[in-house]
Amino acid sequence: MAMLSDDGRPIFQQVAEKMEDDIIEGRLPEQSQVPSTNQFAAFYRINPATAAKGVNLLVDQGILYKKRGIGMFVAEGARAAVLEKRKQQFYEQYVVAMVREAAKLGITTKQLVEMIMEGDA
Amino acid sequence: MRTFRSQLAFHWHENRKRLLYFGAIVLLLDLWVLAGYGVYEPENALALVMNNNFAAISIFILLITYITGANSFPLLMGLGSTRRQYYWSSLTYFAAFSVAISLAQTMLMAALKLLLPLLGFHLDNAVISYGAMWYSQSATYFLLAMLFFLASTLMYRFGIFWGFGLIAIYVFSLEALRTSNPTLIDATARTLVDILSPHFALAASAGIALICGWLYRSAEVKTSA
Amino acid sequence: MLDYTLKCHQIYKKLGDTQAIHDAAVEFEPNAIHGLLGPSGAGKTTLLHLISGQLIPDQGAVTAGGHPVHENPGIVSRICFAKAIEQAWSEYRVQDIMKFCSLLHPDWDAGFAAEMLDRFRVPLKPKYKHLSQGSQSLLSIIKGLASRSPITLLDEPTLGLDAEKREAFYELLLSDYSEHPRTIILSTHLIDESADLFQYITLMQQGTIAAHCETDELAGQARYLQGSTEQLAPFLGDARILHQESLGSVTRLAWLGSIDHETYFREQGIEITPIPLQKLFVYLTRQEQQISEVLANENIS
Repeated sequence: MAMLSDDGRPIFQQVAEKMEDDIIEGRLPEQSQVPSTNQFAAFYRINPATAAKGVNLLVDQGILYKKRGIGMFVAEGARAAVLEKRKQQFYEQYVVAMVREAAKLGITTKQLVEMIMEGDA
Repeated sequence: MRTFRSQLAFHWHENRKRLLYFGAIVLLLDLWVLAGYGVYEPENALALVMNNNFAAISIFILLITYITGANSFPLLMGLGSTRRQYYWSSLTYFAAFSVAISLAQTMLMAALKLLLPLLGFHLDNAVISYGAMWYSQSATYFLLAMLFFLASTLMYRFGIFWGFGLIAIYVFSLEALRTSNPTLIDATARTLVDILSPHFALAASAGIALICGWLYRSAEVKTSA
Repeated sequence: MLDYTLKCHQIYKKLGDTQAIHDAAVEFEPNAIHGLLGPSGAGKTTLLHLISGQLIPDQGAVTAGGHPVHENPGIVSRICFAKAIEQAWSEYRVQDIMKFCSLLHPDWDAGFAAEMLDRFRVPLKPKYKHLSQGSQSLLSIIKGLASRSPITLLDEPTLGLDAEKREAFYELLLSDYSEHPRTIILSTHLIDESADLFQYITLMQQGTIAAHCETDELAGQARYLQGSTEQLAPFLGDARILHQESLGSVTRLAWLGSIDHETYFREQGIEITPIPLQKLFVYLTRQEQQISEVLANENIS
């Protein structure tokens, strides 16, 4: 887990995304316990309330759940849910932007597809 | 109540070392006075010591009240005290000091009255009432403390000019009220204690304390370093 | 007294000939870390003195949990005001100062204080006036944190500290706050480093409270708009512009507020990106706009 980036995106969102990354890459398996908000705050040097906000975001989305008195855990099916969400975001973040940039540079859709195939090789 | 005791503990802790050095210096001075002058005027030996101590204690009172007014006030305010707490704990500490130092002095007198004849001093045979001596001393020193506390408070609140002005007034009053007396030693030894009966001293102290209390009600801690 | 919500009710204070504080009204949410920001001379230190009771307001009042702070022993003893330089400590030794703190702060943690003295290698024997500025600041930090006071005020705590010690302080602040939640108000010029610490920020300008809001909320409303000067024409001259820069025919605006038809403008080619918190605070404290007017339009604070 690298430090948080300085790009101005809300910190609590970055915290949530880092946890999602860990879920996708298997560092946080389903049903495993997630570090406490205080641990997050200490690690990233941020306000505990902000860390809590990021965690609560994932709780609201059903990716994490709270076991009273114990802590936060990764929900069943969380990985699939996160992948689905990210695929959606992927389209908006990368594909739309790519198409727009390609249009700006005068690259046709056909050329774009060829480039993708080449990149994938 | 707990905070009051903490504040008194603060004053004690703050002054311990000073008291120790002071006590040691005064005793040494007393020995020096006795050895140097007392041998020539044995009837006046006790008066000499009293005079010497009075001067030393007055200076010490000036020192501690000045520190309390100028430094302990912002210090205690910076540690979460109210003005009222500071005021009452300071008064208590001055009163305790006055009573304690008078007791020490009275006991010293009693000890000297017993010891000196054994060393060959021929003291006069005046009967000393130790109770009265202790009471009048306490009242005198407390009055002194209040006078200097007022000066220090004025200095803190209104600047050095007012503080020094008040001290100048005190000095002139002392001069004006001094009883004419052949030996300088006698005069300074007895001036305040004789001319003011202890009750009057206490009443005056109470009055001055009220003025200080009124001054502290709206005292503020300076914001810039 | 369990509720320590600190509130300033329309405070006025004159210092000498200047109206140092006027019409200051703010409520500090309890058990959160608050950043008190503003250019020098804005009145941050004066406000902290008023909150702690060391200065008395000419008008208005400071309350904690609804009870007035003024001359209230139960409350005043539970507000710890740590200043970078303590004149009154000059002649005392460090060990005596620590003893005084332990006597007068009801919740003082001596063990924690000892740990910090050791960790920061603050010597016990020298008098305060003989310490370096860094050690003096560290001593104030120790007083502020070890007091565990329900309301803790820290005025420029990092004065004279090198980067390594400042980092250590921030870590210590966060971890101690996590374990012992309390209201902490931190006034600092070093917004770069400390922006991430604050849950709420209070911005002062010219002796009054210009804004008080949740950091996230504020950051969420801040955007850079970058494009050609013609593209940005509809935005120019608006009160919501915090800062404007141009390079050739390209202009960049720092914008605080909502942007209607954001997607439309993006498709037009205007780049809309978030503003990093540190830069946002810089724009806000630079006093280029009357922030209170900007935020009034946006229902923030």
